[in-house]
Amino acid sequence: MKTKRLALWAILVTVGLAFSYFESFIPLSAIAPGLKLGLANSVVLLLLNSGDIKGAYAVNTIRVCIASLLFGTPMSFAFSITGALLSTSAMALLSKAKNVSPFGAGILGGAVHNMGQLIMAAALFKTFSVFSLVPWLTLIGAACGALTGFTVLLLIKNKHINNLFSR
Amino acid sequence: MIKRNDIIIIICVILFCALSFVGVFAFRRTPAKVIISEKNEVLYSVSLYSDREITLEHNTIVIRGGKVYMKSADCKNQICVNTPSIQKDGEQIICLPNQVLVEVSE
Repeated sequence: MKTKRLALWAILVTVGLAFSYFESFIPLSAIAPGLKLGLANSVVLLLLNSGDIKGAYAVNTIRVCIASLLFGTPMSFAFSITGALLSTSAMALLSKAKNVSPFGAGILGGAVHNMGQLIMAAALFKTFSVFSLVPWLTLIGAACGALTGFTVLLLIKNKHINNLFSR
Repeated sequence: MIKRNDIIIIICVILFCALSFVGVFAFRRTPAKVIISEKNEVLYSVSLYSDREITLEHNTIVIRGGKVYMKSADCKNQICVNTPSIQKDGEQIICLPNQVLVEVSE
């Protein structure tokens, strides 16, 4: 592994953590408890855009662990990690697909992330009634994912950012 | 740049949302209960949507697909067995000889 790559991952974990912290000031929790924009997802999308699937998993997993230690609870960790792993997997698959931009990957990632959280909620609370939230959470997740995906679309037009991520 | 398959993903997600909205509204039921009592004593209070067969001392009651009917009774008149299946709030099946009352309650 190149040292440059390792350093990049470390920086991206920090950037993701900063996003997680920043998000805690946006009062989306008023709409639904635990609702977040998922800005840190843009970091994963950037890594996947450069073809670094391993890095995407590593950065996202480490970010979720640290963010849960800093701002979360064991319960919120369980939800975050299922959502993170599922959405990273979905977006990694899409990064291999043809004719898919980070915009589309972000949308599916956001939707899948919330599905993962619902599955975790159903398992933890041992009830299927949470699945009545599926349409709402898919819609919200896709909308937030579209936002981060669009941000990434703008970012990868920048030459310096592309250089930073190039291998 | 937004690419061709992005549009397909967006359409799929919107379709999934629409379908799940329809699904959630179609399957939303009021949690109706079936209350079975014998000699003024409530023996069972179970969901109308949990398919099962309940056997009492003299009667057998079947709950299936949101409907309840009396499958068998050892009484002479068999009025309860001949009663059509019930499903709406307040409907009853009564077996007078055995003092069994089956009632749907929301």
